[in-house]
Amino acid sequence: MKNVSQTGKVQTVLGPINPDDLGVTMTHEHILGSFDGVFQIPVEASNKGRYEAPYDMDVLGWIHHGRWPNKKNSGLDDIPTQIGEVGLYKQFGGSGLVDATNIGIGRDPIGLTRISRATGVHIIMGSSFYVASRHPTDMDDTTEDSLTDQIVGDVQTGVGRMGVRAGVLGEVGCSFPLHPNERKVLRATARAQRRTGAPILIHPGRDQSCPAEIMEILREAGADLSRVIVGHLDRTLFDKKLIKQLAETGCFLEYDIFGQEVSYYPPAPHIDIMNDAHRLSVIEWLIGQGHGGQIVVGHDIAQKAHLVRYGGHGYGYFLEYMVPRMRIKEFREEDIQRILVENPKRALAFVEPR
Amino acid sequence: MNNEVLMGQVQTVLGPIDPEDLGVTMTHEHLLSSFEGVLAAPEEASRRAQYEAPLSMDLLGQFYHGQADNSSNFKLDDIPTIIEEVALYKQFGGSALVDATNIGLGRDPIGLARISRATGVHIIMGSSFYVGMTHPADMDGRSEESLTEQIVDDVVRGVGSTGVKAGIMGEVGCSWPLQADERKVLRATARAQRLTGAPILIHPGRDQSGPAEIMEVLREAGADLTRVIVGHLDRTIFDKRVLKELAETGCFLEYDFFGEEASYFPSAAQIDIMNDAQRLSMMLWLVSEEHGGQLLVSHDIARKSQLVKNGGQGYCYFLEYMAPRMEAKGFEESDIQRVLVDNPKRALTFVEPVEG
Repeated sequence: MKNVSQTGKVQTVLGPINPDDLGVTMTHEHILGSFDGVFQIPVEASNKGRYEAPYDMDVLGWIHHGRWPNKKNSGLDDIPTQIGEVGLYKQFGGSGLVDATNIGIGRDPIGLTRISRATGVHIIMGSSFYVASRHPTDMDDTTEDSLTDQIVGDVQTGVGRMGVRAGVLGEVGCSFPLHPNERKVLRATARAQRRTGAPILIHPGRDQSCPAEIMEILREAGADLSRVIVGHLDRTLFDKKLIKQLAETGCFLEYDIFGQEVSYYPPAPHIDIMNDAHRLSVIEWLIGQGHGGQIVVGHDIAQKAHLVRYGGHGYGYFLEYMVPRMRIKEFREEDIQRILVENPKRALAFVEPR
Repeated sequence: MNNEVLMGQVQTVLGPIDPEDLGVTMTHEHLLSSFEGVLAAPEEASRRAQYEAPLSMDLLGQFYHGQADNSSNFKLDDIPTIIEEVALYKQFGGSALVDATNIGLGRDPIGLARISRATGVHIIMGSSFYVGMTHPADMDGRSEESLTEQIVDDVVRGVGSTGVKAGIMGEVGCSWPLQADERKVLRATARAQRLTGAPILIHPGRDQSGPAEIMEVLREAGADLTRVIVGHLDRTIFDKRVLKELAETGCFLEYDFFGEEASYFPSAAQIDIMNDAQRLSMMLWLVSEEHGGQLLVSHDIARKSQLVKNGGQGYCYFLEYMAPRMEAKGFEESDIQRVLVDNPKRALTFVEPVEG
């Protein structure tokens, strides 16, 4: 079942491309996806009313400050809207996007091909599984081997009968503490990497100890850690010693919540989340430490409120707002280029299967 | 022209009240205002069109991230809307608001009186002048004495023929570097404080050395620095030593951008603005340094997009979101009470005039 033609290529939803054609790439977004169930539905009558309220401007403040979910906010499900949003990304110079949506959170292969054809933007689709709360109901009984086969199938033959192939194994969901089934998925994903040469993208649990624990499981299962992207560092690692330790594994370091600057983080209220200025200063520090070749960025767009149409920042935010700000902060042009183009290219190009 | 009746009272737009009746107070907001004078229409055609466009959902992202101005957004001008927003503040426990809008920013005494009567919220109106670019055209030719008289009149007689009196002198606008006319206004305001016993509220220039320079101008002109509120510290002072020096003057220390968490600050791109978590940490540090009795908080609401109706934080944000978070961060209940009630009460109560 090996497909040697993938080696050295980036696999998009429209087929493999030469990595030199990938261009400016955000490595962690959701273009189509459904995160129902991630938010708890409030029990108080008036708060439940807010949850069910029509999606008008007056609900945005609640959504924005992270206290009150709104039912209509949680899905990215309208293809014409997403074509408009991805089109904006292209207008600001965007060329490739990773859709980290995978099994269990509404992955939509045909929808992604439509958006890619309509906009001309390269889209890389995910595989493997998100966090345990979104696993299929039979996950307890599914063997590591059968998970590996399913993931390899997504990459090599495509999802279902649609022929659309995944180009990244992720975002692999990890909770804190790590659920036994999440360990199993991590091991299966590592093995699928050995069989396909595809990159891995990790959603770590919300604790500073998580990335190291995850890397250890992947390493034991035979993964190539230099082909792993560790996401969500902006809400996970704050201690520079720990960031440095992670960086020294050779993995890719992803700051992927750009544009979200609210410091309150509802899934983990004890964490004060970074704002964009913090993110840029940590990235500056990593470059100074010689890790500039491992940094990738994204916005993790996952709700309607993140879209420009609904008052959010959109997929083009980094290019529109952050790149000029990096220049104000005196980042070198070659470092900006590495983060936007060179690192994603290296992260996403398939290597020879082992 | 002093008015000893004001001593020991807080002066609201509906008249003086007992400071004990003031209650939970945000000390730096705008209820009715227009900041058109500080905006510059962009040059690029598409940005110009957005600048002139009515507020709509798809423009909110740009406003939030501070990259785009919009002439309609920077005006708070609809009384029924503001009545609803102030009523939300009341629902969350708010009792009083300082409207820091002053001469040149569209100050609206009768409008404020209407909002106060409709909601039952105490409103304290501002006087004196905002930054140089909003000064009246004849400011260069105005004497310090005539400015002092105008400010004192606002406080003692009321604005024009409205009978509505200012209860605070501010926000006194200071640019960086400080302009000559702004120095004149600062001196006139200090003098008006000596004549009225009213508090002063400062909008400092965007540089860490701004507040110290302003305090020195005020001190030389005879102001009581313990009756001065220094605003906008969340975008002005980041160095704890500089902050400590300011605190030691005895002034009130105001963190007044709560709910604004975008780190980019369009009027000064080199400044990374604080978010709410950083504001609270700075306040916690000030409490530990024994300056908890000087802290004040607010949102500086000045744009339509900051109203709850339009997806913003609203005047109620601190009470709805921050007060619970303060407990989680280790503030004592008594510190929260000081910040919300006791400090504003002390800051806004008129003292005995030293002149006149």
